[in-house]
Amino acid sequence: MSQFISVQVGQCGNQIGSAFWPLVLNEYGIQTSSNSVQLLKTQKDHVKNTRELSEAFHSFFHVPGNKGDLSFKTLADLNAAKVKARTVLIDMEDSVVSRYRQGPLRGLFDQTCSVTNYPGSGNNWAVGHYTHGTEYRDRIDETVRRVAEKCDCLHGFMITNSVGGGTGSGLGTAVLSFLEDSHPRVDRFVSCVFPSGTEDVVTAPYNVLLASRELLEHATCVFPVENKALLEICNAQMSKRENIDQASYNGSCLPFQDMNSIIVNMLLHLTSGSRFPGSLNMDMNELATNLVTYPKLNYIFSSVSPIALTASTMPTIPGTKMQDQLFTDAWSRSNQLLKTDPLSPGSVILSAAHVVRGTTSLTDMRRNIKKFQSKARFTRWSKEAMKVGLCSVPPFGHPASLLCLLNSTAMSNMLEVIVQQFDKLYSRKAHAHHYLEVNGFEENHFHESRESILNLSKQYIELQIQQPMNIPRLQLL
Amino acid sequence: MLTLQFGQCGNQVGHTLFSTVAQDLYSANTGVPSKRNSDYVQAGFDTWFKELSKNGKHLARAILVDTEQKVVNTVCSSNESNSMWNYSPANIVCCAGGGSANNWGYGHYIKGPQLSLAALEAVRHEVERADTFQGFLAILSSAGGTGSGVGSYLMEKIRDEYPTKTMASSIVFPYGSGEVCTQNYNTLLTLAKFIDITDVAILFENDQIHGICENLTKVPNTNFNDLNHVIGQKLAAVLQPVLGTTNILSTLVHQLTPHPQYKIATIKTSLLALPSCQLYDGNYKWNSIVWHLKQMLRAPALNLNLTDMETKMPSNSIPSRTDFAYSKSVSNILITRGSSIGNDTIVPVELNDEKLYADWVPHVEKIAHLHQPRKLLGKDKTAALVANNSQLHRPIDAIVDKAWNTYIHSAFLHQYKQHGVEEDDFLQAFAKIENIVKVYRELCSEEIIS
Repeated sequence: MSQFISVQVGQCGNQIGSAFWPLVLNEYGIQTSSNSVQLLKTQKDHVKNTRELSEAFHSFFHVPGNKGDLSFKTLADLNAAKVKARTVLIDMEDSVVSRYRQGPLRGLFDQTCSVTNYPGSGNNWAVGHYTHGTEYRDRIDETVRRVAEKCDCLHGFMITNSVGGGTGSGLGTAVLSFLEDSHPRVDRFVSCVFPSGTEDVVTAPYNVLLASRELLEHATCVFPVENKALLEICNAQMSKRENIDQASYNGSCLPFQDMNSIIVNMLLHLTSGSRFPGSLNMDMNELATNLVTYPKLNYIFSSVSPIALTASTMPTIPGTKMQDQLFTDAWSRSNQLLKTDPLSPGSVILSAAHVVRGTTSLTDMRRNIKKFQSKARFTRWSKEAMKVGLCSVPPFGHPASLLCLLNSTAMSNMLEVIVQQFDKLYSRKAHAHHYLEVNGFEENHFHESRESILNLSKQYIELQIQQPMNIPRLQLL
Repeated sequence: MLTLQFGQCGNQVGHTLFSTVAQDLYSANTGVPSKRNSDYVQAGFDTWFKELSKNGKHLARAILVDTEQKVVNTVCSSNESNSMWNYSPANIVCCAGGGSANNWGYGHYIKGPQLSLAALEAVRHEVERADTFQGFLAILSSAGGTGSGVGSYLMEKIRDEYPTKTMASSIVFPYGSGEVCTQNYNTLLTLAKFIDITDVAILFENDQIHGICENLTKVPNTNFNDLNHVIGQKLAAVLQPVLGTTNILSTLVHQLTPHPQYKIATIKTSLLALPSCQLYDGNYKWNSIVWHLKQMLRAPALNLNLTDMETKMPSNSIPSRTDFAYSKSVSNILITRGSSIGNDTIVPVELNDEKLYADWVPHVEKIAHLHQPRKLLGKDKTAALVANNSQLHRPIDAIVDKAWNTYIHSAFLHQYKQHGVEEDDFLQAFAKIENIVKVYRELCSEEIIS
């Protein structure tokens, strides 16, 4: 069974992590309720796939002594069996990581899997990347090695961070290249949070640009997420009456739980094909082959439906209508984890993947793929570039769900905004001296990163207006 | 006969095939005297299974090759309880640590060599213990990375080791609308290899099988299980014991491939006995069934889409107008199962029609008829036509078209390059497959092929 190591860097990365682990346990049927935390509810007709779930338990957790029975019921069982999460927690300030050590799940994490320090990176990418990157490289490598040694088939690193700040952005991208050096054959999937336009961090445009370039160079696939999009989803969805369970669960958790749970939902779905059986498996290492059509075009749009992790309190009608609704929702703007619409007019789809968990049929799948092919615009060659995954284990509480991943030229819009905001700040050279003071950082890094993001954006645009080639097929004499 | 199941599709179809075969061998409704039935059952078990396991189950003569465990686990565990057969644990060749990434290059150059030692060892072991070894049957899909890449690598190795044994392959083509973004490249590269390695390649198209499921079973929602059942039944209808030959594989190859340029075939069936299908009706006369099979070889008139007759039931009334155009075959084999007596005997004369064959095919080689009076799966009549026919150029042509279009825009190529598949390798594969499309298309034209 394939295994994943979650690498959480910086405050945001670790907050996503703190939403991730209880929900993972929840998916595996382990209740994480402690005093205030409420359970997520399941639908009445929910089928428990106990066997598949327990077989896949290794994916995120290390169980010492390789016991046969992995169907744990409670946290106490986990602690008794000395189960550890496969994770590396990295932060340059202690506040979030230390909460892990005091929280209800503290048994899953130990001192050896975290690298922390005080007092942070001052929202400075260069400090995170160079100062901390150099200083902590050995410790981080060592920690990763220890966790990786406990995996017998390591499949991928899932890196969560934000790109607006200093630690997640700077050190996070440094960690990415450490991983590339130490485990060149293991895929690196990054889901990173892009700050919303109204910045709480003045230097965010610098950090975003510098980090984006690193992601481009060193990640297998990047699943960017925008705070603004998450916020809108929360406002629209979580307030709905049918999602009251989710809302009360979120309320009982740490701040940003509602937004982070959307990312977690996406990550759980993304890895489902590697963890659970299905009639058409989609392994994580297939993602790059299917979605990265040309080198470096590795920024992927993602959307999930349904958005809420808990079962809706409204009855859902299973069957064709529900299936179609899943697809329609996933293509709609309101379910996108980015503000940019991958299906916006003018943009073209380079490749697409649809992964269904739970009950579905080929008939439903084919009908909706056809619908998608008539709805979206494609290049001359990409119309049939469709990846389909069917996973038999639905997410906790739902009969079925859908993850839609798109590589669309609309990504150029987001990249242009990144460059524009950088230019606005850099034209005044505001705060630039803080970066130049850092040992290892040179002014050229700004220019190179800007160039590289602009190039990527251009590459998308070129594909968008690509003139179809008409080279006739081979002629045989 | 040794079955080699490659990748997710290969293992699922293979499992369905063995289940179908076992179910047939245990079927009580045989329609023949018990002596005859026991001969049939004996021959069937010898072909598909070896000795009994400790807990009294028949062990399949099959090697399961995959790059991840989930499918193989599911397939094996579904056999643990109430099933008469199982796979030998020693024949499961799996390597953990990620699949073949839907990349033929990764499967062929990285995963294939990793699995090669263990797989070849298992093959040797199985071949040695067979008293009369018929040959190999590979089952795989061409869309993904494991079946296509690992499959073609290992079949090459096996061919090197057993240059004279019969090798047949059944290759499942993906849905045209897309299952995997790189499916056209993978199919192209796979077909180019298999056409050289194996003696005959039997093609199945998911789109066509899907049509059969939807139209014949009337079950609103089709899933992969239904598709696998159709493919499993088709293979069983051909490969179960028949009278007059003890080695059906080599009979197939000899009859079907009289010319080295024509090595692909398809299986048409009339009256499938699908588990989900209540429509089975054994009251059709053999004449109508043979006519029905013949209609499946019709060529579409200009610019018209022809209904796939395989998605329809046979009809007892044969139309008076019979001047249809047909796709030309190089060779056909008719395999019938069920009783042929009195006023309802099987006369394959319709299939001997000159309009069905290319001009250069010698009269004696046109069609072979194999028969087995014992019922398949308890159904009164089943008929399969294995056709090496010009129709096959269509699905292959469609794939070359899409692959070429992607290739000239150099999309996805970097994924293959990193595993050592260069542009030149693609070009060679294109040339090889274009040639196949050409020779099959030209079967229908009047030109004489040198």
